[in-house]
Amino acid sequence: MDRDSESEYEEEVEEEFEEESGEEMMVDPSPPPFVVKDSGLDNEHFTFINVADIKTEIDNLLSEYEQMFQIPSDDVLRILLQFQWKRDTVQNKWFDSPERILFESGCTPANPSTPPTYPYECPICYCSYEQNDIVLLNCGHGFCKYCFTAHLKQLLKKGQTNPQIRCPQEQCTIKLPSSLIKSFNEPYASQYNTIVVTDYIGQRKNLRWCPGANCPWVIRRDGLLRNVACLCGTKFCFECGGPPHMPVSCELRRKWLERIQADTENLDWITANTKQCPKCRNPIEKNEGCNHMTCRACRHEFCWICLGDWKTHGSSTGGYYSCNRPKNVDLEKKQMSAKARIEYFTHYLDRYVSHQKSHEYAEKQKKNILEKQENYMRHFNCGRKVVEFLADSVDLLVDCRNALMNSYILGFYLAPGVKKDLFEMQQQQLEASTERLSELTEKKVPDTNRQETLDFIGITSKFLHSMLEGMVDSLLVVRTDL
Amino acid sequence: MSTPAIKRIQKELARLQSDPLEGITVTPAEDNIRYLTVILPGPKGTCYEGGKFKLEVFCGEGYPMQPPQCRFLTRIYHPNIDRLGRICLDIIDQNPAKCQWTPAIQIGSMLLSIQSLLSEPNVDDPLDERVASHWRTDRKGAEAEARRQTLQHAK
Repeated sequence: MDRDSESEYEEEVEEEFEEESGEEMMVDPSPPPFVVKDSGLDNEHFTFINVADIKTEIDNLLSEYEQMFQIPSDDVLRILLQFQWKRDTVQNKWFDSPERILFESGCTPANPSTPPTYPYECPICYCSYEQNDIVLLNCGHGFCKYCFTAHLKQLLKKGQTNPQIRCPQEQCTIKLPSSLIKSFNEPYASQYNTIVVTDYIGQRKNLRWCPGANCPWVIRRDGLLRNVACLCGTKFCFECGGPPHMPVSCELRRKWLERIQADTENLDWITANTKQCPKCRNPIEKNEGCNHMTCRACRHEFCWICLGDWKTHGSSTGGYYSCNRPKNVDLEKKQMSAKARIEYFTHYLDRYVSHQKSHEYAEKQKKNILEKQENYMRHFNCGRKVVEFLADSVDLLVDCRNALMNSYILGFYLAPGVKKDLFEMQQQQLEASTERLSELTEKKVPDTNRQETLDFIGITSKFLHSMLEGMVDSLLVVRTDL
Repeated sequence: MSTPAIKRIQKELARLQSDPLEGITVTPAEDNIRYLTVILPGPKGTCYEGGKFKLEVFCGEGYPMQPPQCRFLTRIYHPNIDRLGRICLDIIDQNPAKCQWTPAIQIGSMLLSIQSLLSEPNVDDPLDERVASHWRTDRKGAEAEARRQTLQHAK
């Protein structure tokens, strides 16, 4: 569908919507400009490349050095493979000593051996062959082409991932030239190409395959952000390949996960799904993602995380949402007491687990969103374009919950200081607005407020971005007394 | 039946016959030339000296494109050889990703590599962690134990 017909379609839908629903709802004539689909996973910072383009990039590199060093492309490739495609190393080594780098890369043999005499006995099958049946390498080792192909086939079949394939002769340091490997029939050539491309991607810090099943995209990182949303739908961390976990780094997240795994007893207590209403002591089970709780028995509204009155949360009521900061813990102190340490840890763990739960709820909401959209369309008698905000809101909610969950790991490890204050402010804003968004998405269809939801999608995604982008620099100071 | 693999094994055995490796004997099974029984003397000047170790070598369907399977039949106290006699050596590693085997390696040179593994245990890539840690923490004691077991099992 091209642009024009798309906007036509939009107009149609909106006309239809306005006619049918009458005055009940104000309709936004154009999609709000700030809706970002892959919120928090800002794809401006990533480029999606296909393998053919990587291949071209490699070919360009090869021909560049071919001209610079005046050596065959086979030798350039062997050198680049030997030195992990590092341009600086390769150039320095070349200018130090071309002979040495050629030897180290397996292009030239240690001692050139005498050319064989024919008929020649293949050292693999021990049969004699004439010259045209022998594959002769520049180290002087020859093999019959039948054994040589069988060997190559065996290597590739068993999943060779190292593109540096040695001469089969024991102790020989020569690496097979790529032109030789590619001179055999398919599929060797294309399989070898794939191995080379994979090696190149593996060695480049700014490139990575999408970990999604059968996904062909290669992702190039152009900035410092780590959360990637691939075109295939897979979301992952660019650095560790695991689930996206900004703002916390891979290392701190791993440390945290190890820690909470060791602390299962503590976790059992915290993950218990029920808490008592702080006012009437009725047990309450939390079965939705939003942390704004209303007790069924006494209608008391409170925050699930800190059990404080909800009135003190969120700027709409004039209060100030601040349950992301540990209370009763002197944060400025260099060394915390044992008791303070436990309180400190529990504070963050509690919030981490809360958001983890809410994240699961949000994922569940996301799964059922099509059904909800159908209901909405039926109820308000409107078109498909109009209900997109429902999917957008839960998509964003999933990302926010994930970011908040991980932000408590970062908060736990961050040392007190200006950076942490700023971070907690951003976290606070995001948390407050996520809670509101969460509430909005949990409303039944007839009570859904489209305009308010759209507004909160906009605000929340802004907060999400500023929190994630504010924490990408690597100069964060980490506590050492935990 | 004479496949290329069988032909190669026959030639390798003939060469080992005419040009034998010092102290090493290689005998094929009567009914299966792919199955070889090897007697490997413990290298001189090591804690395995004086021992005669029995190994089985099986050149499977993939031979020589894939390495033969080797196993010590005699008990041996060595960090790279486990209680079942399996050997941790790069050229015959059964894990294809780690295997440094190439089809130009011969049974004879493979046996020499195993022999030199006896002279130089590799405690950084152990197969039997208990033995390896013994080796790391108390090399003299470990060697004494190896000598004792050699006298007990490999005489």
